[in-house]
Parts: sequence; structure tokens; C-alpha cells
Amino acid sequence: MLSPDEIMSKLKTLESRSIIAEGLLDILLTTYNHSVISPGDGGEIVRLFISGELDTPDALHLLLDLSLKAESEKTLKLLSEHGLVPET
Amino acid sequence: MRYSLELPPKDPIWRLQIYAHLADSLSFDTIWLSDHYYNRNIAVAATAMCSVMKTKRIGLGIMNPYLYHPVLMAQMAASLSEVAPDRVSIGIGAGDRNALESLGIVQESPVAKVRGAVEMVRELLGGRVGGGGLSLDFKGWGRIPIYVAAQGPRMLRLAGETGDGVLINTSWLFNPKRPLSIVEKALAETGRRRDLFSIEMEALVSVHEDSEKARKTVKPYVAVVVQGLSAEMADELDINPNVMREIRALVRARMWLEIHKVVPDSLVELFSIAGNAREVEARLEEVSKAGLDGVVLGGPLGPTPRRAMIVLDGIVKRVSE
Repeated sequence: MLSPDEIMSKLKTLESRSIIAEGLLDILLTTYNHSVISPGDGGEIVRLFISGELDTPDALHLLLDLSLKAESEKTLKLLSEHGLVPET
Repeated sequence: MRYSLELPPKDPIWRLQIYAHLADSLSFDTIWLSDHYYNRNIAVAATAMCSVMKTKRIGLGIMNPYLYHPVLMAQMAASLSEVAPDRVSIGIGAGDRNALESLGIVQESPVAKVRGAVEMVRELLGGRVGGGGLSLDFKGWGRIPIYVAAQGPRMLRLAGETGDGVLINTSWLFNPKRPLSIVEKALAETGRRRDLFSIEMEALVSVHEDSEKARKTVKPYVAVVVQGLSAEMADELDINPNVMREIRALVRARMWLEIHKVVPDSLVELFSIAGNAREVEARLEEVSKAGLDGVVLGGPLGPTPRRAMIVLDGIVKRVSE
């Protein structure tokens, strides 16, 4: 299992990172475990969404971090679909 | 023909802001925020949403006069119009009888109560003194149309007599022409102009490439509609009283996961537009031909609301062509 930092370093070079950013965003928008997303983090996601920066490295780091906390299984499934982690 | 969205503020405010900003770039007319005491406060949510929306209208409600004094409804709408000038609408209805009961409130004389609220809100928004000598010391920005939410024939008639528009309950989705004719008759009888009045229907919607998943997602929303049906309508639609009782108990306990097991597909079919994009488009096209001025797409929208909004935008554009 790769660490979030290792996943990030792979993500940075990936052309499909905007698709992954959208996938991570949808996980955060639909999880029932939304208490792991503080209002501050939520506000930051809104700012990044509005400015079109969700696929930047910092934004991906935030999305990935929160998404792993909220829905680790779904997140790993998404990452494995893009070859970022081995299939489970 | 206008297509609007209705979002229940069950989600954290940041999520509502994402949906609001996305909606701002799509072809919807108004974003309505439904009001439930157990969800986020709609005035707070609407203000936050308006801060990320530049073009769309925002609809407050449906609010009911059992929970909100009309002066508070007018105050809320007028205050919001300072954030979204000329882009605010307000919806007033009798509320859900069972939800009110759980707060210890009896829904007495709903038609008279809503009539009084609509008239007073109109007076107050117009800068005049309302019932009891009440007034606001400020005025809203732009016109704030008042919609009446209606299900039964008497409330539909009231909407035609006194509202600027009507939001017909989604329970009429199986036959939109009937409530439409009641409202049009009331407009004609009171000498009001049809072209200055907006007849819109709320429709629970759920779209996903997997039809079954779309239908499953809408079930808790269908349950809320079913438990609020009048006895006459439940009889007319031949809904099993035992199923009604079971649904009512589960909604009251807010046991949403259990509800999936008791809401039959037949009720999903009656009270919602759920399925894949092709199925939703066909049904929406059918509803759109009924002579309505607008449809408010509400409910879950889909298992993934952000993606569903984008798919629905495409559907709405095709249906409008």
C-alpha cells in the first residue's frame, strides 16, 4: 500500500488527474461520514472548485487526504481504477 | 418552459455552495431550498449559496405559517434580496401535517392560514403595513414573487386566487393536467391573468446510468411524499393502507435505510421520475407537454448529485428544443 505522499507523486504526472479530482470530490459530496470534513476544509474545497483549481497538487492532496479518511474503500477503488494503487 | 432545481439542505453548507455554483453555469432558472426543521436553516444556507451564484434565482421554501410568522418570512426574503437583488422567490404552503405533529403543532385551517400568510407577506414586501399593524423598516430589492405550494383542490384554488405562482406537489406527477385545470379555473373565476401567473410542478428526480440505482436512491423521498398524502388521494391511487402506515412510521423515525425495503417500485413510478438518462428524458418530456410553465426538479437528483445535475442540464436542453 502506497502512502498518500507516494500516491500524490504519481498523481502529479498523471494526465487524468482532473478526472480523479472529480471522483474524489464526488466521494466527499456523497459520503455520510461528512463529520471528518471540517467547515474550514469544506470552505477550502468550495474555493478551489470555484477557481477551477481542484486538480492542482495542493488541492489533490487535500481531496485525497479527506477522501481516505471519509471513505477509504471507495477512494482506493477509484485510485486502483486509474492504476495508482494495486487492485484489491 | 422553465426548469428549476430543488435542493434539500440536508447537506453541509459547503456542499450546497458547490451545487449552487455548478447550477449557476447550467440552464436552470431557480434553485429552491426546501425547508425541514431537522435540516440546515434555509436562510443561512440560501445566503451562503447566493455568495457563489451570480445569475440564478433562489427560492426560499416551502415555508409554512405554523412555524414561521409571516413577518419573519417577509423579513427573510427581503434580507436575502440584498444579497441577490431581483433574484429571490418565496414559497408558502401548509407544511407537512405529520412533521408539524411531531413538533406538537396541529395543522388547523390550513387554507385560511396560508391565505393569511400570503396576503400579509405581500403587504410587508410591498412596504405596507400588514395585519396587526406590523411592518418592516426596510424594503426588498426587486420583485419577490410568492408561490403557493399546493396538493389538494382547495389549496390549488387558493394558489390561483392569491399567489403569483403555484408549486404543484409532486404527488400529482401521475396526472399534471388535473391540478393545472383547477388552478386555471381559479384564475379565470377571479379575473386574474394567466400570463402573469406561473404554474410549476415539483418532480422528484433521480438519474443514473444504472436505472435500478436511480430508483433506489429516490425511495426515501418518495416515502416522504407518500406519508403526506391526503386520505382521498391515497384511496384514489389505491395505496395499501398497511404500506402507508409502515412508511409513515419509518419517516417519522427518520429510518431512511429501512425505507428502501418498504417502498414498492409502483410508488416510485407514480411519484418520481427515476431511471437512466433516456428514461428520465422520456418522462420529463411527457410532463412538460401538460401545459405547465415550469418543472422544479427535486429530490435526490441522483446517487451522485453533482453528476446528476450535469446530466439533467443536458436533458433539459434537449427537452426544451
